[in-house]
Amino acid sequence: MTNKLTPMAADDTTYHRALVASDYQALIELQVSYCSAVDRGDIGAIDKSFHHGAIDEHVGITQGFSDRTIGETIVAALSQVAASPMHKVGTVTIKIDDDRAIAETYFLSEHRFSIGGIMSVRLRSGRYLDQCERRSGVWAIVHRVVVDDWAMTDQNRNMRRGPQ
Amino acid sequence: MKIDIRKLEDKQAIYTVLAAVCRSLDRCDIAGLVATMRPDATNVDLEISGRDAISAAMIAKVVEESDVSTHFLSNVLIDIDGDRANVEAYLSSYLVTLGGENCTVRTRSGRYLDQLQREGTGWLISSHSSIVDWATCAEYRTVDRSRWQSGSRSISDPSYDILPIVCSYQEHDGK
Repeated sequence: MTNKLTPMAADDTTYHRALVASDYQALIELQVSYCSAVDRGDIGAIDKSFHHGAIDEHVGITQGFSDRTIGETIVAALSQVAASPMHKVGTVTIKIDDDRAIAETYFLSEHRFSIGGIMSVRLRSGRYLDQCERRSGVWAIVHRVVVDDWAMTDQNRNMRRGPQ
Repeated sequence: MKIDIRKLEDKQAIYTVLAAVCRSLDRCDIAGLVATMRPDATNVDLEISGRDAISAAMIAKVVEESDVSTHFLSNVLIDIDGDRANVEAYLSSYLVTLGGENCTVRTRSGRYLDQLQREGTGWLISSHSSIVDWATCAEYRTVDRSRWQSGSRSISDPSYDILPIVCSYQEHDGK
């Protein structure tokens, strides 16, 4: 996420406070845009969430140093197991320290898939634990750990077919 | 257009307090929950006062009802009037009891209604209540653990390795 705030405020202190408040919003949007990119299968947009050299432990990729990008890996994995994925984020805690930030973001993921011809939804609750950096004015993730809290499946024979 | 930076900062700080409530409940972190409240805070639901008693009672209730929990904040409305604020925060809570192949999930959709006061550079809850709009309890198939790290219901959770701060003005001493 790009922070486009420019130093137009009355003094350095005011500018710094405005920058931190703006950074907070940019970091929230980083999480939301990542989820949107995953759910739309947008490899380029997923990769924009990570800086070069970023480590995503949950897919085992170091961005720029593997055969695949993080985005390619996530989209390939999801295409094999689920249709119409939904990733929702909430309960966000962010600590900003100049050009670095740490964030814990709760997520709920919903994946629709078929078990023996019966459509089911798998609901997973977990958290993204991210270390983020601002490079050239752009906030992105440099290290991601995904924590798994619980997951369950719900079978529903009357589920409406959604987009593929 | 005049930008009210203080109001932005206040809203972000208040949201962080609410997130700290959820986080502390899910990690059973009494000290973290205490740090979100004024010493004389009241909990309307439990009909008790005092942040120590409230925190202990709220966490005891979650532990009694589940093996693992998720308190998921979404729509948050914050109305600030000087050094006081009123908040309505939508919350989906999932209280999960694990049991082999199946798990029981109590899902509650509701809202936290909180009053907060400015304290120094931060905000603290002075009154907390909640509304349950609807609730379900059902048994589901448990899904095998992923190969990701597992969460923990304590401050030994991986999140406390990188983010021991639960509110802008409070830090844990460590594990």
